[in-house]
Amino acid sequence: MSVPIKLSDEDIAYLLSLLRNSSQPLTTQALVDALRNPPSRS
Amino acid sequence: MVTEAGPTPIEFSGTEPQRRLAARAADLLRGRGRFMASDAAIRVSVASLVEVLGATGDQTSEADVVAMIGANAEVFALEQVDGQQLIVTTRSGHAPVARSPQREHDFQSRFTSPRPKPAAPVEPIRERPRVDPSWATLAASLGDLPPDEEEERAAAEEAAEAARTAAEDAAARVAAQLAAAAAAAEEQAARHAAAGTTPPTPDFAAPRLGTVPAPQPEIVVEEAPAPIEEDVPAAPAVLVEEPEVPAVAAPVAPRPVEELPPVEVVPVEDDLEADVIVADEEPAVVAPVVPAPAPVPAPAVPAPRPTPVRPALVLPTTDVSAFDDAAIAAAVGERLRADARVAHFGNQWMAEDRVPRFSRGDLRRMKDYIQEQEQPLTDEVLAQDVLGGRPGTPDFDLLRFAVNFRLSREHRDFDFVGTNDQRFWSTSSLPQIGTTRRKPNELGTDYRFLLEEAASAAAPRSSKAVDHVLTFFEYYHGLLPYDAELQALLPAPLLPDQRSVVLTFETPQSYTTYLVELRYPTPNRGGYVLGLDDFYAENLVPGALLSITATENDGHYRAEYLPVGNQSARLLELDERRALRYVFRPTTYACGVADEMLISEERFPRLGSERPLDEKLRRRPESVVAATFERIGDQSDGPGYLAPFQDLFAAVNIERPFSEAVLRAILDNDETGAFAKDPDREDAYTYVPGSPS
Repeated sequence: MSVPIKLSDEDIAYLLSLLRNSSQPLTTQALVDALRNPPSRS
Repeated sequence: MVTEAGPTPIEFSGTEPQRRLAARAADLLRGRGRFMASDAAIRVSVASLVEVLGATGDQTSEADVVAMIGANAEVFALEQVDGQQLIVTTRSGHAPVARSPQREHDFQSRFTSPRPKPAAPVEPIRERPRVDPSWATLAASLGDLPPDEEEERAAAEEAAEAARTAAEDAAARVAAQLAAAAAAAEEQAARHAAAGTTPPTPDFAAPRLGTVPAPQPEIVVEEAPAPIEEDVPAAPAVLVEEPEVPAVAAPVAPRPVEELPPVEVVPVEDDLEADVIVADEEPAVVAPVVPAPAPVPAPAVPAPRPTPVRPALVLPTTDVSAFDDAAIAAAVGERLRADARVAHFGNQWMAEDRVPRFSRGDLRRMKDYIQEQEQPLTDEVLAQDVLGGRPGTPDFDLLRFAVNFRLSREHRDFDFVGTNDQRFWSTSSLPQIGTTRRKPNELGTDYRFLLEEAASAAAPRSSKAVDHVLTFFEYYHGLLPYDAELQALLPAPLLPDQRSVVLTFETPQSYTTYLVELRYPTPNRGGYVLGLDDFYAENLVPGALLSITATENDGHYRAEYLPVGNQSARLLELDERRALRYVFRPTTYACGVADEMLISEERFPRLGSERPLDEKLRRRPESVVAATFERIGDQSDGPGYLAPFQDLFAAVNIERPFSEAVLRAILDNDETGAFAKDPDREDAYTYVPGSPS
């Protein structure tokens, strides 16, 4: 059994900033992709 | 009394024959114009007049007539019309006078010939006031742009020139005022010297020429034995170097200078270049106060445009590359669901304060619209029909999300019965979808056996198609069991507390789409799909092969049957017209069937005229199996009943749903020994009545 991932407060703040700056609802997959490819790493 | 006015007598001129001819002609003409107006012209040709006169015995000629007319010009006139001479007169005995009717004031003239529009005088060109440059749009627009150096230099020079001009003007005014004051003082001093009097003390409160209110400097008395504070009422702004001028006020004049404590003048504002001069021996003399020249304003340099302050973007710190999407999605969902700042519905997320809000009226209209349509409606329909959203616009998806999120907060009025792709909303007052022959709870209890069988089902939506053989019970109630196969085909509930979901089943062979409801299992009731009554009744028979295929939309499915040529058989039905009773009726069907599940009279002749089992009896599966043995079993080989498993399975599904596993478990695991497997026949069972409890 794999260890569940634990998101940090910075991760959640990053996701909240994405949601605030979006004019349309975002899907869960979009948030997952955003975590996988943050701006600094893309 | 009626009187009749006779013709007006006419006096004629000329010779006697001419007068006689004139009288005769006048009579004839008056007779012709008897019904004409008295002043209307009566025209008769001279030739015809001569002819008539000749016919009556008065021989004359046209020349005589013309001569007579000439002699009586007041009575007759001669006209030429198309080369023919006409004698003209009126009933009143006067030659007709051409009149032009006065028509300029009648309605016809006034309406048809309006006065020409008076020419408007040429208006002088109005001078347009020039707009202050500060209000000009162009300047305002360009004001944000940084001006170049030349513009700045030109603006500074212009401002400096304006300030210099103002200062010179002010200085000139001050000089003139001072000169006038000095002249007046000299004159007064001379007058008093001549008279031997003392010049009066000037009234402090009297207004001063050129005095303007100015900020008062604070005067603080230092080193005084008693706290003395002297207020200087008048503004001691600018002084004059002419102490001999006595015409001005001295706030502390009566007190000798030596008695005055030293004062400290503290200017209030830095830009006031004010001086206070206190005379040594004479009363303090303050010259008329004049405003100091305005300081040269600094050239207007537009402030730099403020840079919008954006919160710094916090970057994620967790490396998620080692985890799969499902694990990350679960972690994201776990954190964001607990955050009140985030609105979510299904797999969509948004900042809560950016989701449109609905009024109570909007919510009521959505509820009324659902009840009016008498069926659950999707978020798309609600957003379009009730809220006026337009599909395809950028805000339509946001509006749909708002519908879903806001309605999910209204638990008392709205129930979500949709899927992720097809989000139906219902109200509690809507009629039930599907059969009303049995209550939903009873059907759930009937399918309770599915709880154990479907526990190890595959993941929802993992299967693309399911083939199913319709039983009599399913056909009669329009049902499908939510067994392991359907669980792998149909979607899982989108919301944690969702009890049912409305799906659309498209049947391309009948060009119809049915609204069906999937009731999810509860801890003590099985799940099932209901709402296919009409589809079954119009196209299928019990035992039909049914195929259900998933589509890209997780709420939309395609139901098809195997089309075959028309077949006829006497099939079992439940006659509901009088007392409930099973009957066989000739039936024609065009769908492929599984022969082992077809309930025909040929296979089960004794089922006809049977009544449905009592509700108390049918609650127990063993009792239903026993009753089925008695209905279809073969009694030829002994005291009990013998029936093949397939026949038993088809017939036992008439009363209540059974799966093959459940039926076989009952037959194989019967502790009473009533049911037993027949060792002589393949897959057949026996039942001895009286044995089961």
